[in-house]
Amino acid sequence: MHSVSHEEATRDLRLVKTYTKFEMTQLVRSPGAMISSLVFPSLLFAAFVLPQMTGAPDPRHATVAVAQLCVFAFFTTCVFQIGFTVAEMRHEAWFVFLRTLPAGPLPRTVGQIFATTVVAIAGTIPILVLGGLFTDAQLSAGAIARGMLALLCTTIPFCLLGALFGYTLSLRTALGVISLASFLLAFLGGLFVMPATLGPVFDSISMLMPTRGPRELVAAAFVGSQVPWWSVVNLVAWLLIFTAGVVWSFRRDQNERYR
Amino acid sequence: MTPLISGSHLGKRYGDITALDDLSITVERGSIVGLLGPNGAGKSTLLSLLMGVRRPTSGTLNVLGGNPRYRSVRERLGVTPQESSLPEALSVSETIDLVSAHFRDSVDRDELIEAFDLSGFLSRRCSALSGGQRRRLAVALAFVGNSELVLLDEPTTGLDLESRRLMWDSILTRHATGTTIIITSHYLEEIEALAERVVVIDKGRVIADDATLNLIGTFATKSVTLTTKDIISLRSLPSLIGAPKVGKDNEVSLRTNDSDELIREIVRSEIPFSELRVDRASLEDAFIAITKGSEHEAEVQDA
Repeated sequence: MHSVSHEEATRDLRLVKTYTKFEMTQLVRSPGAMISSLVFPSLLFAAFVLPQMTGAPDPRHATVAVAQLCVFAFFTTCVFQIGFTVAEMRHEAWFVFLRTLPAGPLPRTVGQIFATTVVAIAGTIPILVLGGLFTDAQLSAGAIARGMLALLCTTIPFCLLGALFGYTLSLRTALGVISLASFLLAFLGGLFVMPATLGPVFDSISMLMPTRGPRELVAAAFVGSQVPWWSVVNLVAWLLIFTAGVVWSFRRDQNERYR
Repeated sequence: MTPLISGSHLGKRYGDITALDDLSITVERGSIVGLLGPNGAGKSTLLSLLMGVRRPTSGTLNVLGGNPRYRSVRERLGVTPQESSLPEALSVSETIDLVSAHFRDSVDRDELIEAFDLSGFLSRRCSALSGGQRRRLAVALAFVGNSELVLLDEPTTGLDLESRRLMWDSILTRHATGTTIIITSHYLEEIEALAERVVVIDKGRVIADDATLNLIGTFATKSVTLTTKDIISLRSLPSLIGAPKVGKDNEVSLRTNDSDELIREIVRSEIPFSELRVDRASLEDAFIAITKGSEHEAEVQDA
């Protein structure tokens, strides 16, 4: 077998840095793709969540509302950025060229995930600022640190879902399918409305959604309460399902194009 | 010394389509080999096997002492992006840096910029480059890794003659430093100008493989053109190959392996003529002759 030497491992680490830098550069230079990730979640927060918060001063409620929109920011950013990058990758000769270079796909993938995470974090900043200024949400430094840590955990399943979309959809259908699917998953997972307020049937359907586990995890992290056991099960189960899906779709795609 | 590339009995099938059919090829270190063939002949498939993007359905392939899918082999292999596809949002300079970060031993940056004349637009984004500039960058990228073997797939398609000649100089300069080069092209004159050896592929097989000069020499090396009305007498000349080709204003062109003898025969038969001209046959003539020959063989086999 071909083993990775120390020199190659060092070079791969350097490549992760290089790719992160260039992915960021590309995002900054064509901000059209990024702008919705940055603005949309906080716009939703300002339009729909803030009006509900006035007159009902429940700090815990407000903190959870902030948390679920932060999850929405991470979810949409990961699914859209990774989904489109992968779908694009399958159509452009430039990516065939990258395959001929002496490095595996790992440094590039990690670089893409890092760059996506930076955008996702940037997307949560206006939500935290609005939440801190105009609601009774308790956003201490500790709460934000715990919340961010939990959010970072959610990037992995979310990016995998994005990759699954990217490998199975053509560039043309990607926009429609990803938009619709992410809206439905966000709604069903309780990222817009508190799931409990929509009745027990909705709540139990919601608990099966890949967005619900991350929501509970992040909400508990922000509030500082105990993480419900089923949300961890949800997160791990979907992580495994998405990993299997990505492996399957990646192989299928490689077979189609590079037999 | 072992050859740089040795492929034997390579086959590649896509479902029912046979792209390569029992193709064998060896390439020695330090050479420039031209790959020639009509569209769909299997050139691109062969290149994709050599660059490790696809794997053969049958046969064995050894590139630079190993499997081109291995990183250690790709380390010493340079490739151009097809269709001059580039990262549109990055600048020329950033693109070179990105590619160069993949290699253990990359070429001297300034030397590369100089060789492919990129200095005028280094900070420009790839999306803003002209067609010619894109080509120059795309071809330069194949040389970034200081590779022993470079595969150039149609490096000058879409360039004007002037830019094409400049590109040839750049490629030959890199070759002079010891790089082995395989080049495909639609322009036969390009292969003629660059390649020492030509491999002609048709229907997934090698149908001719020889030194460029020999290949041209095999097929009617000279073309004699003259203006005359007496075409009937021309037909009986012993040194003539094939039939005379009659053009406009009684211009007739004749194919031969010995133009001196043919002209002597014309003079001896007292055929009236004017505007005599002798040209060397081009690789294009040779190419037409070879691919027609293979078609003819196929017809004979079918019958």
